[in-house]
Amino acid sequence: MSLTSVSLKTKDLSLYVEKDKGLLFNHISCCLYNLPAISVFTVLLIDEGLSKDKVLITLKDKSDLHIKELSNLYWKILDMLALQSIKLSYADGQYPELSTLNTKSKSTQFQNINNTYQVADATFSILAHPELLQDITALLAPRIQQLQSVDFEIMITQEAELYCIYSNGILVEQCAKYLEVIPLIIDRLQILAFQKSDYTFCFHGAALATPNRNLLLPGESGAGKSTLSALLLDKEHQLYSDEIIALDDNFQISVIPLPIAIKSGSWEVVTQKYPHLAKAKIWHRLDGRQLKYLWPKSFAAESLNSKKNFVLIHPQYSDKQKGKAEVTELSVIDTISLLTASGYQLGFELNIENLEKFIAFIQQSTNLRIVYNNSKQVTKVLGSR
Amino acid sequence: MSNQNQADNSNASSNTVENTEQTRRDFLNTFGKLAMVTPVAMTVLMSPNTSAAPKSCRGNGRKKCT
Repeated sequence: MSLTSVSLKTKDLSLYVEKDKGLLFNHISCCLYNLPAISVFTVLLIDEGLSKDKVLITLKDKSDLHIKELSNLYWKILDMLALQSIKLSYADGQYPELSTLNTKSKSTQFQNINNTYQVADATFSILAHPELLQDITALLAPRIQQLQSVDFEIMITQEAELYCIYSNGILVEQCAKYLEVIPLIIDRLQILAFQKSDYTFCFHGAALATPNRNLLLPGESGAGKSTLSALLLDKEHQLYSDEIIALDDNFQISVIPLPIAIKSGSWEVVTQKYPHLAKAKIWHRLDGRQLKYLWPKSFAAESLNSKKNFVLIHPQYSDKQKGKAEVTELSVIDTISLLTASGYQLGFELNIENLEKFIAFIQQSTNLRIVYNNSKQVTKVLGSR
Repeated sequence: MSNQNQADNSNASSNTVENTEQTRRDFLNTFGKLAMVTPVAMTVLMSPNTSAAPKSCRGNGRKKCT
């Protein structure tokens, strides 16, 4: 069963169903929900205009759940259906320095900094003590541009045993260890680069171009998307970004050229393809995980974007997956759930028109869950589709 | 518009309403049967409260890493 729109009596609510699940969009709160069958059923009963008691009696007739659980469900759904706006907006998550874009020439403190960096359309200058600056310059060497002025002036200071990161004069990050600074900087560059772009949808994941398709690998941190991206890269597979899937209103992917973060669990397998990774410096995330950075030989060109089919893969690495990769087709609702569960941001307020555009985009994509042990298994799956 | 056309349009409109009603009733029956075997959990997929820059620290924008 494909995704079907169900016409509701209640204005300002849109319901879509697919197999045993539903998607509900509240036009006023601008929220999108994933509903199991019992919740879809409850929504339909409430939409029919049934009283609370009648809804509960009907639910009790169909379900083994205790009346207390059904009553809780009823109130939760009523809350979800409430036609009240939320004070926050989707755009509230923009980083604060975006509202203070530096339009002048370099500030006095940055006058002697020669190296400036460009990531997508965002430009940066970074000031730190000599040892840290040396590490930053070495890592970001491929992004060095000689620019007279930049959007973001980033200054890293050490105050009372804490490293403080200021961006356009705003304190934006603090960490206790030297080794934690670089991952924070790379993450910030990545996020500022996409937030400064004309993105509409942004999801957490990797994006690659192949000759005929765009490959999206959404997933939570640790799912194996960076590892799989590094293993897939060759003449045929080029990287848009290993962390950020930023799409504009025509579903064109932004290129965010920064190094790939390879977590410690993947060093052995990735080093087989990239021997120089063995000597790369080890950095730490705030959550304690260790990583090394790897630059791809080249990035995808923006022009590769146009009119390509999309293949969306939820990668799951398993060392027990011998022979073929295990492939499962994902439903539209499961795909949207997966994309958003990994972290997302919208560049506009979600409304029914752009939601339907997004649903159409997912419906046209090939959506797969692939359990794999090596990149050859994945390329074989892609080649067969 | 001729009377015949008006009558045709009115019939078409009433057919559409009937079809919509029927479709909704069909889904009500289908999901009534499915309700027996599915869990209660429902999730917010997108909301202004959960839209945040995706981060690589565990939590991915929904929780702070610090």
